[in-house]
Amino acid sequence: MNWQEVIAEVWPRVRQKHLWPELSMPVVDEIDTPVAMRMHDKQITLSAESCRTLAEHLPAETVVEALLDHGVSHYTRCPWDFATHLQLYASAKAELGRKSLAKLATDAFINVVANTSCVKDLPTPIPDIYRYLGGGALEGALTALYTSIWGINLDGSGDPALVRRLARIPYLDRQQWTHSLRRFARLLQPLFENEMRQRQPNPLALGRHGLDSYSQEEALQGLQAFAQHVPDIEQFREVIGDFTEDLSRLGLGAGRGRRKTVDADVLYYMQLAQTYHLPVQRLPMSRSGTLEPYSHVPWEASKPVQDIDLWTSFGKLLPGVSQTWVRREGVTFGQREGTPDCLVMLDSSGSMTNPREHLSFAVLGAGCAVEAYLRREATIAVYNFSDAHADGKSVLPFSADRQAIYHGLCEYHGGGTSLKLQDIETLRRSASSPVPDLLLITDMQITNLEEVMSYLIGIEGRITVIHIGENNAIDRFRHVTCQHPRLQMYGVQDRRDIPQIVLGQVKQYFTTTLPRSSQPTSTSFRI
Amino acid sequence: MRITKDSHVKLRDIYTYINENLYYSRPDLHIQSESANATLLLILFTALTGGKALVVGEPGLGKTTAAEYICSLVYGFPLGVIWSSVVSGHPEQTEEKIVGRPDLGKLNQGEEVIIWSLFARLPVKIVDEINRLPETKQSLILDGVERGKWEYLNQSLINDDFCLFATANYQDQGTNTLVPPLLDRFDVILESKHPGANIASLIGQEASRESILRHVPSETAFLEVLRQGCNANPAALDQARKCFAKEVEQQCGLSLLTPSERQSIRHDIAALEIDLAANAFVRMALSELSFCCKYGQKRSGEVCDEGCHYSGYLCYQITNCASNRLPNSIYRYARALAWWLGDSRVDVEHVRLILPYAIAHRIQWRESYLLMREREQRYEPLQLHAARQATGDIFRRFHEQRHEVMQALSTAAQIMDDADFVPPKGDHPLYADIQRDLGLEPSPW
Amino acid sequence: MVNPFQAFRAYTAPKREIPLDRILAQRDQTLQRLLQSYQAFVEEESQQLVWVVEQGALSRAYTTAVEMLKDIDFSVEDVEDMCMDLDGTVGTVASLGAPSGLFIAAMCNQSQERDITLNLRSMTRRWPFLGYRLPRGRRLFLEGDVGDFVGALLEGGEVTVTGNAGNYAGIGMKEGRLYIGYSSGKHTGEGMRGGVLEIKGRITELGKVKDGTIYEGDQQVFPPREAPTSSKTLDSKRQTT
Repeated sequence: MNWQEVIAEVWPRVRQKHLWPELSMPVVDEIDTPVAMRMHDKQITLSAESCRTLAEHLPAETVVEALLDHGVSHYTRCPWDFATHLQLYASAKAELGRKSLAKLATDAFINVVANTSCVKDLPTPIPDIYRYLGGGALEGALTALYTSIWGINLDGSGDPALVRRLARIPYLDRQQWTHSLRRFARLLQPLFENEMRQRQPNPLALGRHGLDSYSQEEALQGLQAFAQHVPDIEQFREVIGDFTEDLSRLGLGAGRGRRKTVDADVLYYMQLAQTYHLPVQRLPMSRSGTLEPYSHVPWEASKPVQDIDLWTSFGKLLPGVSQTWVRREGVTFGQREGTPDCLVMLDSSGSMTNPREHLSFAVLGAGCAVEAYLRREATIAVYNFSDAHADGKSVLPFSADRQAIYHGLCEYHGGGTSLKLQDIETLRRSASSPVPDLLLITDMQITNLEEVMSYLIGIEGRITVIHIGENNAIDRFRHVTCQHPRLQMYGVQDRRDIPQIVLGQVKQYFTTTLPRSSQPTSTSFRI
Repeated sequence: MRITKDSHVKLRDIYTYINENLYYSRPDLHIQSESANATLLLILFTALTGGKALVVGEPGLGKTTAAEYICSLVYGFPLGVIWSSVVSGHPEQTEEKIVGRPDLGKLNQGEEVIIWSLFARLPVKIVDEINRLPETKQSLILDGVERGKWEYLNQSLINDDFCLFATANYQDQGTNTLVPPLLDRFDVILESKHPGANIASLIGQEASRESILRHVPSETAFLEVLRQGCNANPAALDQARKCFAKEVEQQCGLSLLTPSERQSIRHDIAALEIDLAANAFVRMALSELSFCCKYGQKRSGEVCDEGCHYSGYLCYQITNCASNRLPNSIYRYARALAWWLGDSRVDVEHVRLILPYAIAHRIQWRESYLLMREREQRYEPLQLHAARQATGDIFRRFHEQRHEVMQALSTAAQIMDDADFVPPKGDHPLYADIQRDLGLEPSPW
Repeated sequence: MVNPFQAFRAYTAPKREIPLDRILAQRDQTLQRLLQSYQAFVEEESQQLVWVVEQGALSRAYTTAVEMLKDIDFSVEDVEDMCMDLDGTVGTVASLGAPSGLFIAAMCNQSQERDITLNLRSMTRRWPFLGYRLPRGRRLFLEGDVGDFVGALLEGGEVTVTGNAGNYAGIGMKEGRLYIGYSSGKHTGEGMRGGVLEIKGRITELGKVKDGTIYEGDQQVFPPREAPTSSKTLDSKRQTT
C-alpha cells in the first residue's frame, strides 16, 4: 500500500474541510515512538505501522483522513499555539501537582477538544478509528466520553458516573479551557495515575503533544504571551522548569554546547521586557554636509519664468528645452544619528525585590531599557550592586550578549547599599561611545547618596533614573537634580508605569532643535 | 469573444516560458497543488487586469525586467518599444518627458500641437525607481493612471486599457518617501527577491536572453506608427503587432494574445463570483482595518487608548484607515488568481493569499507592532511580513467565527428588508459595523 | 439605501448539534434555575435573619429551600456544579456560608440519587451544614474538607467526609452514621441523640453529647469505656460534662 499516494489523494479534501491551513503535505514514515502521528514545525508525519494496523479494520482513505483531521485540528483548533499549550499545562499542573500527570492530562484534554471540534463542525471519520484504537482504562473512559458527547456508539468502557461528569465540561468554549481542564484533570486523576504506572504506553495513541511540535519562532512568541499571562515569576518558572529539555532542544537555552540550560527567571524577564517598547532619544553622532548651491533643470510649462537662464536656453522659451536655475539657500548639513551605549546600574540590595522570587519592576524596567538599546545596536554594561564597597556587586563590561546581560540583571545580592563610583567611572571609560548613557535603577536608599548625586551632576552624558517607590531619599535626589539638563527621573510602582519611560530624554528648554527619533513616522513609508 | 481554453493555455505558456528562460526565480507562492513565483505571477495578473503594482527590491534583482517581459508578451510589444516608454525616476524628470511636449516646430509657428510620450500612449506603463521622482511627478503619474487620462496644455489623451508598474529600490540617500496617498493607489506591492546563489550563478553564466523579445523590424515599425501620433494608421499598428507575434512564435513557440482576447479575459475575470465565505472574510478584514470604537473610524495619527476593548484586533495595531481602493484591489487579484487556477469562484484561499500583497503598503503600523515583527524570522520585507502575519491573525478569527459572522450578515440582510429579527451581536468589530449599518448605534446627536 | 448584506440573505449557518450541546444547554438551564432559586431563598431568609444559628430558624430555612427546589429537576452533577458556581461567585450573597450550605444540603436530600459524591477538594469554601437531616437510605460522600455543622440533625443517612470537619460536627444527630477522615473541631457531637460518629483523626473538643456513640480513631470516647487498671493515664485532651 503506497500510503503517500493515499495522502496525496486525501489531503486536498482535508485542507478544504479545514479552510486551507498553511501546512505542508503530510508524509508517512516509520516512527520510533509508539504514536500514530507526529507534528513538528507544521509538518505532520503519520506512522506507517499505525496506518497499517488501523487499515486492517478500515479503508486506507478513512484511516488517513481521520488521522489528518486530528492532526490538522491541533493546528487550527487546539492547542492552536505555544502560549495556549503552556497555559493549559499550567492549569493542569496547578490541579494535579505532578509534571507527568499534568502532561498526560493536557494531552488528553487537547485530544478531546480537537476531536470534538472536528466531529461537531465537519464530516470526519475520526469516530471510526476510535472503535479500533483500543488501549487501557484511560482510553476506554475517553472513548466512553466520546460516545456520550458525540452520540456515536464506540464501545467504550468507563464508569457511567465519571462519564456523566466528564460530559458536562464545555470543551469547545475556548474562554473556559483552563477551568475546564482543571475539572477534567480532577475527574480523571485516578486514571492518569494508573496510566503512568504502566510500562508500555498504548501504541495506537494518537500522539503525545510535546513542545517539540512547535518551531523556535512559535516558542518565542508563545513565551512572550505566557510571561504576560502569568501573575508572577513563580508560576512561569514552575511551568518552564518542567519543559527545560524541550526548550533546550528548541535552542532557547543558554550556555555552550548542545546541552544548554534554560534559566527560567532570565527567560521570564527577557520575554516580558520584549513586550514593552521604550523609545530612546537619538544623539547626533557626527556632522557632515555638502552644499550644492546652484543647478539647472529643464523648464516646465507650468513653472514660473523668472529663473530661466536664457544663455543656456538658446534664447528660446520652450518647455523641455529652456533651462531654469534651481537655488538652494541656507546652510545644510547632515547628521548621522545614533544611540550611545548604556551603562545600567541596578540596585539589588536588601530593600529591593528579589527578582527570582517575585516580579521585580526594577529588573523588568532594566530589561525594557536593555531591549531598547540593543535594538538600536548599542551595547550594554551592567553594574549590579548592593554594598559595592564590600564587594557586593557584579559587573558585566559592555556587551551585546543578551543572555549575559539578563543574567547580570537577575542576580540578587541582598545586603546593604553603596555605590562604588570608581567602578562606574572605569566602566564608562571603557565604552566605545565617547559619552555613554547612564541608567540608574534604585530605591535611593544608598549609603553614599550625596557622593552619588555629586558624581552624576558632574559627568557628561544623559542619565535616566528609575526609582522604585517613594521615600525621603528619592525626594532629596529629585530636589538636588531637578535643574540638571540631562537627567530625567521616572517612578515605577506598577507595570503600567514602564511605558512612560523615555530613555535619554533631556529637558527641552536646554536644547535647541534636538531631532526626534528617526524611526519611521506614521506619515511616510520607507521601502 | 468567448474565452477559449487556448487563451488560458497561452497565458500559462507565457508564464512558464518567462519563468524558465528569462526571469529565473524560486517559487514562493503555493496554492492547491501548484507553486509559482509570487512576483512574476502577480505582475502577470496586473498586466491582465489593468492593475497597478509596486515592485520593490534591491538593485539589479529584476524588478523592471520582470514587468517588461510580461508586458511584452501579454501586450505583444517588442522589448525595444517597451524600453522606449519607460519613465526613469530621477529628480529632474519633467512633465514634458513623462506626458508629452509641444511640437516645437509648430509651436514656433503659433500652433499648439502635443506630441504625447510613449509612456502616455502605450497601455503598458512602467516607471523605474518611482521613489526617486519628486513628489509632484509621482502625483502626476498616479493621477493620470488613476483616471486613464493625460492632460497637457489643455489637451487630453485617454487610455482605455492600461496597467502600471512602478519599481523602487529600498530607502537610500537618493530617494524620497512615497507618501500614503500615492501608495494607496497601488493595488499590490511585490518584492523581487534574490534568487539564491545557484540561480544567480546560472544567470551570470548565460548570455543575455533579452534578444529573444527584441525584433528590430517590428520595433522600427511600431515606433514609426506611434511617432505619427493621432494620425497613426490602426492597420499599420496591427501589422506591426502581427509581425512581432510571428517572430515570437518562431523564436519561442509562444502564441500571443490578441487585444480582443485580452479584453475577454479581463471581462471573464471580472465576472467571477465571490463565494460567501470569501466575502465574509474580506468584510472582517476591512472592518479590522477601518473600525474604531472610540473615534468612529481609524484616522491617521489617532492612536487607540490602552485597554480598549478591541485591543485583540488589528484596529488596535494600526494608525490609519483602509481606503475604498483596498477591496477593489483584493477582489481584482483574487479573481485573477481564481481564474488562473481554473476555479469557478473566488474562495477564501484565494483571498487569503492575495491579502498581504494588497495591504502591506497601505497599512501604517504602531511602532510596537513593527518592532515585535521585526524580530521574527521572515523571507520578505518587514512590511510584507507584518501584513502576512496580520492576515493570518484575521484568518484565525474568521476560522473560529465564520458561521456566526455569516449568520449575522444574513440576519442583517433580513432586518434591512424589515424583517423582525434580533440584531446580531458579537465581539468582532464587524458586528459594530453591522449595528451602524442597521442604524442601531446610538447617535451622538 | 442599498442593502450591503444582500449577498448573505439566503445563508443559514449549518447546524451540527452533537449531544454535548444538549448536555451543556440542559446543564446551564438547570444551573440557572437553581441559582435563581438560591437567590430567592437568600432574599427571603435575609429578612428572617437566618444567620442566627438557631434550630428553629434553621429548620424553617431548610423547609424554604426544599420548597424552592420542588419544581426543579436536577441531578447529582448539578449539585456539584452548583457548589462550584457558588464557590466562584464573589458577592455579598454567596459569601454567606450558612444559607449556601443549607441550600446544598437540601439539594442533596431532594436529589433522585441515593448515593451522592461531592468533590470539594478544589473549592475554596468549606461548606457548612452539609448532610443536614440526611434521611435514612441515602449516602453522602464528601471528598475534601467541610465546614461547621456537618451531618447536623442526621436522620438515618450516612455521611462520609474524607478530610477535616469544622465545629459542631454531628450536632443533634438522631440516627445514622457520620465518618470524618481527619479531625473535627469544637463541640463535636453537641446535642447528639443517637447514631454513630467516627472521627479517624483528632477531636478538638467534644460537645454535650446526650446519646449515640463517638469514636476517636479506634477508641470509643462516648460513652466512655472504663479505663484500663493501669496507673498511667493518657493525657487529657478533652473534657466531658
